[in-house]
Amino acid sequence: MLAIETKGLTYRFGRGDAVLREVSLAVPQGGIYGFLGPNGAGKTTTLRLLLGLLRRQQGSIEVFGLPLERYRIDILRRIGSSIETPSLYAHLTARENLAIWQTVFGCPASRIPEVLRLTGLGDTGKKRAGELSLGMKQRLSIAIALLHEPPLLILDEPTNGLDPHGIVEIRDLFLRLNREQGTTIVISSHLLSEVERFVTHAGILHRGQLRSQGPLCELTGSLEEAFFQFTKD
Amino acid sequence: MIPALRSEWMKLQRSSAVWLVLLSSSFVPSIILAARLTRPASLPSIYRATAFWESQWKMSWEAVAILLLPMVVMLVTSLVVQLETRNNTWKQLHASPQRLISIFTAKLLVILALLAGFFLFANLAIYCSAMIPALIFHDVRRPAAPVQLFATRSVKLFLDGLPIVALQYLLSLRVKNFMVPLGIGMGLWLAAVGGLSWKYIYLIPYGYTAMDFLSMSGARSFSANIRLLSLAFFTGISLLSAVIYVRQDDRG
Repeated sequence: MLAIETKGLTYRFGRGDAVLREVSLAVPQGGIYGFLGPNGAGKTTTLRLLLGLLRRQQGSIEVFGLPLERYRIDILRRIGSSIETPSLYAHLTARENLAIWQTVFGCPASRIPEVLRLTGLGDTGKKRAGELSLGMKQRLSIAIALLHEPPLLILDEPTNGLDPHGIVEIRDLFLRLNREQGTTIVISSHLLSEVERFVTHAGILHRGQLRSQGPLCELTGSLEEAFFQFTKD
Repeated sequence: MIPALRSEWMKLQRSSAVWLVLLSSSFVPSIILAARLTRPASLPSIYRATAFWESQWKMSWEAVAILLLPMVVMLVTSLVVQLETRNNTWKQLHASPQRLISIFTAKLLVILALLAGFFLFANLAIYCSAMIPALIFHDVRRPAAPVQLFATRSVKLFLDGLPIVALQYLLSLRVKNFMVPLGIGMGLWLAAVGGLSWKYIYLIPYGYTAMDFLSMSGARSFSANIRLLSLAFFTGISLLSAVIYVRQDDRG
């Protein structure tokens, strides 16, 4: 069973060249899918299409077996996401930011202290989000994604700005969510050695084309070797 | 729709839009109060006048209806939209399980609520600016509360401001740069105020608050039904804006 399946996904901005060409992703349910590729490969564009932030042009997108456009609201209710830089209301505290999304998702208020604890933000108090460090903002962004206990997480560079301790903590958190709650995680990252430690599947995108995809155990060498092999011009 | 509205309301905590409404609504009444407190000798005759509240209203609303109100409407609308643009939160908002039309409507309702708040606070401030001298100086008569006069005229001016809300909302949603919608709004307001004598002035709705103030205060009369035009502009521009918003290709 696939959590995400795209077929022939092609996208271009304006009249320019296609930034995605015939991308057919297959993210298995219950897996941790590392979505890799050099800068400008089209990873963020793909993730934005998966979240309905860009209108689909060619190809199809199914999430949990449902077409995204038709079941957008139902699908988004089951996704937690963080795309590129953290999306936070700078004039509000971490707790107030979470309260906004708790209202939108309609989840219990008890989830707010829970996700703050899970992401190590329990002691931010009255500090406004704009005053937090980049690492803390990234943690808050992850806390927002986790708030409604979604079965699917789509995270774009979630460890950006985190210190080594933070990276390990967040990695352990993702592993725990995956093992204990069966959360499917799609994660894009440049930190190949870090990603290799916990993903079960990987997809390598280069110049808008999905060059390789499959379980990590099927790779002959390391993920890093595969990355450089598939992203050679 | 209710969660969308509640969440939009929660974003306003400590926001510039709320501060702007609070401070701007009490600006002119504060000046009037200060002027009266420094010249107590003239107060008994002013307060004895039969049309005391009429002149109080004119004095308080002249600069507001012509200048301040259109500016406040432009700024509040831009600031509410900028909460998302400046914080880079459009993508998070659009990736949440909410209908796009609910997000659009909730934001518009919050802007209208802030505008209504402006009128409420402005009327309270005007009332206080009149009553405080009467409470301080014993020889000054205490006038009765002008609830109906203030309420009916405020509703009229509120309706006059709706087209500005609609057009500024459309512009703010389309243009990320805070200054562009403001610049366009200022230009249209200048054109409207500068062209009050033009026979087709009703085509520029940025002058409706000024036109209606001049009508209500008896200074000028205009043949067009400003409030009907105002509602028509508001409805038309809002519908267009909603369609553009829902159909946009790039949502963050």
